[in-house]
Amino acid sequence: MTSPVILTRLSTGVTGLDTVLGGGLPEYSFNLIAGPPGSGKTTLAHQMMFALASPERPALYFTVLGEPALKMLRYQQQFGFFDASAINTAIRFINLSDEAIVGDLDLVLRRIVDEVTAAGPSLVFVDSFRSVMLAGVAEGAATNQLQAFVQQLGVQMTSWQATTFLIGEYFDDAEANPVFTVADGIIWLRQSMQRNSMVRKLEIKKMRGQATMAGLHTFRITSAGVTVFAPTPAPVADTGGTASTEQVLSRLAMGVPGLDEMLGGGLPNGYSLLVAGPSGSGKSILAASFLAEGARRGEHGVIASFEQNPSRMRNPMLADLITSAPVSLVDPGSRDLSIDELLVLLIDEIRKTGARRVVIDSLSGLELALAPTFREDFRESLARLVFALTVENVTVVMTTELEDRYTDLRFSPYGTAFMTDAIIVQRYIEVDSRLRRMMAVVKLRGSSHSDELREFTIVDGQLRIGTRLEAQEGLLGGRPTRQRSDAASRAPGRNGGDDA
Amino acid sequence: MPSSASRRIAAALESRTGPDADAFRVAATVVAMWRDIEGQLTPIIGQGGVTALYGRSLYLAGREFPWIGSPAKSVAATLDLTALHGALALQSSAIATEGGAALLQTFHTLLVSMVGGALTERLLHDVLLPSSSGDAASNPTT
Repeated sequence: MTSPVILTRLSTGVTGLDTVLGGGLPEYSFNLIAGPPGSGKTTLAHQMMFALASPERPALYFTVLGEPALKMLRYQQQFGFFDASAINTAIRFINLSDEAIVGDLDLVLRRIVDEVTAAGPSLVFVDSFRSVMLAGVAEGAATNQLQAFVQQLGVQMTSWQATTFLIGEYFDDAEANPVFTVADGIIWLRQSMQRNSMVRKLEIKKMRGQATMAGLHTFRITSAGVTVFAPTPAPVADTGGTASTEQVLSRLAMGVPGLDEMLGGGLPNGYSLLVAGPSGSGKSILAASFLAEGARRGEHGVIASFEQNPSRMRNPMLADLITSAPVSLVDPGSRDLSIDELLVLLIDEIRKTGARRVVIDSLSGLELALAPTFREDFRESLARLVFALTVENVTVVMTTELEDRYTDLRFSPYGTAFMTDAIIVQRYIEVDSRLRRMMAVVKLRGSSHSDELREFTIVDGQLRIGTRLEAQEGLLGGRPTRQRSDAASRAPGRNGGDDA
Repeated sequence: MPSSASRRIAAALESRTGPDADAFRVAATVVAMWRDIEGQLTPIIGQGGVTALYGRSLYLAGREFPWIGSPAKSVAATLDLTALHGALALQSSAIATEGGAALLQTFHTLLVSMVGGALTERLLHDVLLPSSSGDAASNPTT
């Protein structure tokens, strides 16, 4: 009778990494953590070690040449995961620089095996393995000797029931290297430079026995350690219809008198709304009113703000809501952002608070916050963002800067109109030598809505929607003219929402 | 006012030398404590790392106690504890105790500045524990 061995998978303790690995790290696997200097290899190894090691599952960390152990400890002890009380109980560091400097691979292997035999660790780390190999090369060790060394080490560690990590500096993943062949898993760390921006990326090049998430995944190193931003599910084709008509059971009040009526009774639950308009037109106020209305109804909200200084909110109403807690502020804080990182932050907050309303203010600011390497496919990234938020069953309002152009009619930048369920456009118009504001609902998927161009004002930080701009024509051209009297009395109509 | 670590080092040294110890016994005890430190840290940061820290401690403590010695001119492979023993044994018991404790204290401060207090405490905890038996004199190391 044959029954397959069920591989135990270890949780790495690195946010997002288990997901990318396809469910964790197989126990007793022989892994390589590779990448150029400064890419975070040692930090990743330490974070996993402190998460996994315990007195019952002890770890041995062999330091070879390369970074002096004292400096390594100096920098690692500043991370939140570093637990000094685990040293010499769950974790033991062993310095092999004396053996490595001689350049005798057999001596290094013997010492590792002796220590492993004596301690019986469940986890073994060798940092940096590149140093071991270079030491071998210095002594003229042939490639087959090196391969034999690595294979012996792999066999020894697996036989001793230890999950092993070799940490090494490698620049070229295309190089033929015996370690790559022998390793069960290869975690490759990279640093992508573009202009003055640096983005860290991680790739699981190989992990025997399980399906990993392919591709490069962004990660960040903070005082807490490494966080990997595992991708959210990719949108299926034609994701524009993010919420089907059948799902639209309820509508959310917008918090702006008259706007719900324009939307045919409010914004359908689960929809994404794009509010586009020129600078200062009132987009952020509309978005803040949406959150304030939610707060009044006991619904938690989340806002991702990309203002220059989110702590000094220009909108006092929103600042109050954030201070008094019904609205959570997601502040990505740093530049060189990726959409995956923003999504992780947003979704964490949504799940933590049970939020139903989400605001992204603004897409223009978000685009600037993204690392240049991600700006190139901003449209695709936005599609993923909208899709992922829709999966969370929240209703999303996004604002976007839209330069007033009176020579053509545009409702959204980036060609994003198709990916949102609803669009409200705000514009400036000149009437009687005054700059006035107007807004219109130009799209509401699967629902009837007003087709009126309504004037609005901002009074005490609130939007006041006025009446239809009667007796004017050519409003979208920015400089309307008075209609002739026979046309002025035409009744307001409604759109059928046939753009679904 | 002496720091807590300084008091602990002085207490550990006094506990290991025992009462009315002469300079020779103080020297043997200080060297024994250095052997303990070496044994504790060498597996972790390597012999070279311990020797470098010892050399720096000698240099810093030597400002106040010039007789205590100076770091090796070239990069030393190991701790020259014979020289330290000789320097301490030539002093009076009180001065040897003061200088030996100051050297250990300097090393402790240096390690704290490198890897933080929590990790230093973890690494040197056993070394700084006052001995119950005061065994240094019966275990000369030079």
